[in-house]
Amino acid sequence: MVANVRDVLAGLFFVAVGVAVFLLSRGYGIGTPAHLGPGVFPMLLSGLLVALGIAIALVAVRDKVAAAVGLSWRPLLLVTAAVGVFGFGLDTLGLFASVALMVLVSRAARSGQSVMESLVMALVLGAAASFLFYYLLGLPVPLWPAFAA
Amino acid sequence: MLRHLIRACAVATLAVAVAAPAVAQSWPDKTVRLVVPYPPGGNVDGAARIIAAKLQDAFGKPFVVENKPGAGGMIAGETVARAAPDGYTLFVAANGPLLFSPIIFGRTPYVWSKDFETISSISFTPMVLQVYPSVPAKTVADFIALAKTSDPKLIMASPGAGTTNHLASELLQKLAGAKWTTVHYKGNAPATTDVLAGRVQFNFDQVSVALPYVKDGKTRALAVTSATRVPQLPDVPTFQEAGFADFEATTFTGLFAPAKTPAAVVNALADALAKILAEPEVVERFATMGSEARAMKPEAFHAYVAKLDARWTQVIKDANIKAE
Amino acid sequence: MSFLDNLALGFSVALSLQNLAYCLLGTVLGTAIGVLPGLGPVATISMLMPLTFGLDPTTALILLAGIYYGAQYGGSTTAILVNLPGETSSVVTAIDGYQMARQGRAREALVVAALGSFFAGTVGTLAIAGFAPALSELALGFGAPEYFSLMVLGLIAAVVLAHGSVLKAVAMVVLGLVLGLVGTDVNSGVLRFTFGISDLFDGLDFVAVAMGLFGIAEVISNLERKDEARAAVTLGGKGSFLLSREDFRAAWPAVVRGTGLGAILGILPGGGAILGSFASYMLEKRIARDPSRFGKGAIEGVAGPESANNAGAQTSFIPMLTLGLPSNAVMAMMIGALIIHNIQPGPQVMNANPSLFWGLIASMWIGNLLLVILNLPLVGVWVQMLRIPYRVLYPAILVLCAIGVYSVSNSTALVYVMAAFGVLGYVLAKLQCEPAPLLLGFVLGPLMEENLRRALTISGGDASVFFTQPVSLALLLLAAGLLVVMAMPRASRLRDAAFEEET
Repeated sequence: MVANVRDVLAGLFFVAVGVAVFLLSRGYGIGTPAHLGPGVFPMLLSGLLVALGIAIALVAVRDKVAAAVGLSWRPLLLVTAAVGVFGFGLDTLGLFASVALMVLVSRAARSGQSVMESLVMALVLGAAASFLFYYLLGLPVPLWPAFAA
Repeated sequence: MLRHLIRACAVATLAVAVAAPAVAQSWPDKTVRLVVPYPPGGNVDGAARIIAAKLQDAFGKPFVVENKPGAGGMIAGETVARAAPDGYTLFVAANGPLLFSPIIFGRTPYVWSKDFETISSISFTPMVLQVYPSVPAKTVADFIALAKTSDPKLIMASPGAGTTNHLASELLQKLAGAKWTTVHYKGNAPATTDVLAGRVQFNFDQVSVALPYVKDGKTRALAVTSATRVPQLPDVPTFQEAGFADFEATTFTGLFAPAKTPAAVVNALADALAKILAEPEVVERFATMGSEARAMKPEAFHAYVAKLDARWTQVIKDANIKAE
Repeated sequence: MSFLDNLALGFSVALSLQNLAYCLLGTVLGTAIGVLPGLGPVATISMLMPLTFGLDPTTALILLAGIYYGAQYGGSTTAILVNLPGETSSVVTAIDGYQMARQGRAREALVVAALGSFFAGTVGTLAIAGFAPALSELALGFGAPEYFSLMVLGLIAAVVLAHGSVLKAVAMVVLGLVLGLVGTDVNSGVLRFTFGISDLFDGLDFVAVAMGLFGIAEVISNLERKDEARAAVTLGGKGSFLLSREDFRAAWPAVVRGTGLGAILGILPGGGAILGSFASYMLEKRIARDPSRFGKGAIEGVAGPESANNAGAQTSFIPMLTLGLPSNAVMAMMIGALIIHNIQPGPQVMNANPSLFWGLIASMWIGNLLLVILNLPLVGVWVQMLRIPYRVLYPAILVLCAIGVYSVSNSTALVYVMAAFGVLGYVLAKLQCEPAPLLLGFVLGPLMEENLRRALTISGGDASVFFTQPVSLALLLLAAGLLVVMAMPRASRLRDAAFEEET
């Protein structure tokens, strides 16, 4: 039984990236010494990544220190979703609504938060962002949804 | 507050009377966006900012420059091509984004002749072939002769694959039947630095950039790429004078609108630009950038771009410049 | 004209009421906007550029220079307080600065950043005034072989940024190098790893990558801790206005060394300025009596890099002022501003417009002075912001990050890139892989590859250029020396902790 699962996973991660880089860069071309092709560097790096990944995993297999990895899915998914919602909504819903939605989604990333507080924050941050970025700095984005204008 | 301040500054200092032409509709009744396919700083951005301030005075509504860099200008081009053809989204474009990038990157998010209305040209920027002083060539003929015999080959510093500078070099190789080594840099500044240091022998540089080096004797100008001599370098011949009748390579900047933008709006903008680009102050500003301010009517400009399109597409294909 | 005459002319221009007022306006606006995450000097200047249209050229440049320093200083503040480096140089500041803030030493970190920057700014200004033409020769003397060797040295040194496992740090540098490959290959124009997405043709944007890896990942990590009480940062208890005696004693030699390194590297137009702040960090960690403090809130780790950064910010004006060649995006915009004001940029500016040239230089120093006067009292205000409960603060941080990253090129694509790197950063943090070496690999890698291939093309495929050019050879020997030192566990105090962990 391996104790240091964390570092084994880290090693495997680097091996996986290295293999992917190798596969993707096969078509880029090696060139000549005077004109190195765009494939040379990626090939070298992919080899290095695989070697380093294997080394990290081998060291970890013999490691006595226990270390596991547990991801907190709720903040991970909801914070990412909040940023995604903003990006998705900006051009269609406008600045105010995207900011407000982003705040609501991100507040859900942690349990037991007051819904009232979330709503107030959505409105306040939406208004503050609109004032600061739209009115003061003139960010080139729509302020309101396209269908409302 | 800041916006008001900005507007106040712009209006107060650039109060030049260009009467707003009568447009049938109410255009413009809100802010007009001028989308620039490059980051702030540089020629196209500079051109856009100069005309934005003037158009704002002419039409009495804000004209705002919006930088949307990326993918050789195609991100900006796609944005404008897809925008509503209502005259509130305009494209300040140049050769690269309009003509070269789609071929080089092998994508066609737009076809200039179908997806845009040509409004007017804004400026034309010639380049100069400059060599490091120790290069023995004094004329274009010497230079071509040297390039043909030199071993190792001469090296040209290019500010990037597919730039007008790079394509000018390819065109000259084709017309002269000579070959040299091309080294690409990330932008013009490092390319020019290596010419100044003598690590490479020559480049095609904008006249405004090269002018001080030529005057100080840090480089030697052999020829300019425009059809006529440039006022800043009156003693430097054109490539056409030097025997390359078909050689012309200048960067244009022009104003475009999404296809189907009302003719009244296109004409109003073209008329306003014709007046603006004839103002002595504007002419002088463009001259500082090493450019010639010149408006062309929509049809004439369309024909001009079409002619360039045919020529450069062939050069790019012959030189096999591709991103994939 | 002598040096003193020049400076006198400069100050007579810079101290006019109008220019002084605009210098102040620039530093205030720059700080105010630069403190917003993601809005670094480039975005700030491009937003405020229209402000300068109505001004005379000298005043306009003074305003822009003020915005530049202000934004840079504001960026460090964000890096220290909320772990959000908005530009390359503040990546290094964030490492120990944010740790200081978490230990309740945000005040000290901000004060040392302000004072160090002022000292560095003063030296940098003097360097420009006294030696600009001579120093521009240095910029011309660096060709592709020299840059390649400098980047090799930089990448080997990047491993020092981490305080955990060496192997993982090296792997992270290599991962950064891989990420730096995305986009159009400079040497050939070929697209790599873009998957046909046109938003990736110009590569991954640094701001989006850095804010994802640091800022977003940090928010996710903080949210998984259950205790609301102090998820992010604790407040400082000590009320001293400036620095304690020990802090001062620890910081000042780092400031001096950082200033020297930053000033020299800042002159190199091809990415030298990037190296300044982290060369300084490396040096401080290398010579410290107890290197294990680094990464855990060492004040030298803020003092040195911040000074290096500001010294480099000053000397990076040299190639622009003497050769007319912009060494970074900010300089390109300054040149754009000159053109809009009808001034032909280039080496002749110094002789053709002496009042503009020397006025700008004098106002650089005044701007730095104003920045210190302005920011020392503000430190208290910033630190108070940390009193805001985290449940209220984090949505605001996310909003600011998202808008800031959008403003880089007015594109939502960057917002998605930031989100993706937030996930990657969180996962890597879980695997105890530190993001700083990755970011340096990301920044330096493309420069290294580009210059390697360029050097070989220019030499006709002859790799001996790297050893026959004296500067290149010296840099490579230095890199080899560093490698040897790091590879010998017992001889190196630097990597002790790491090797203990592994054996």
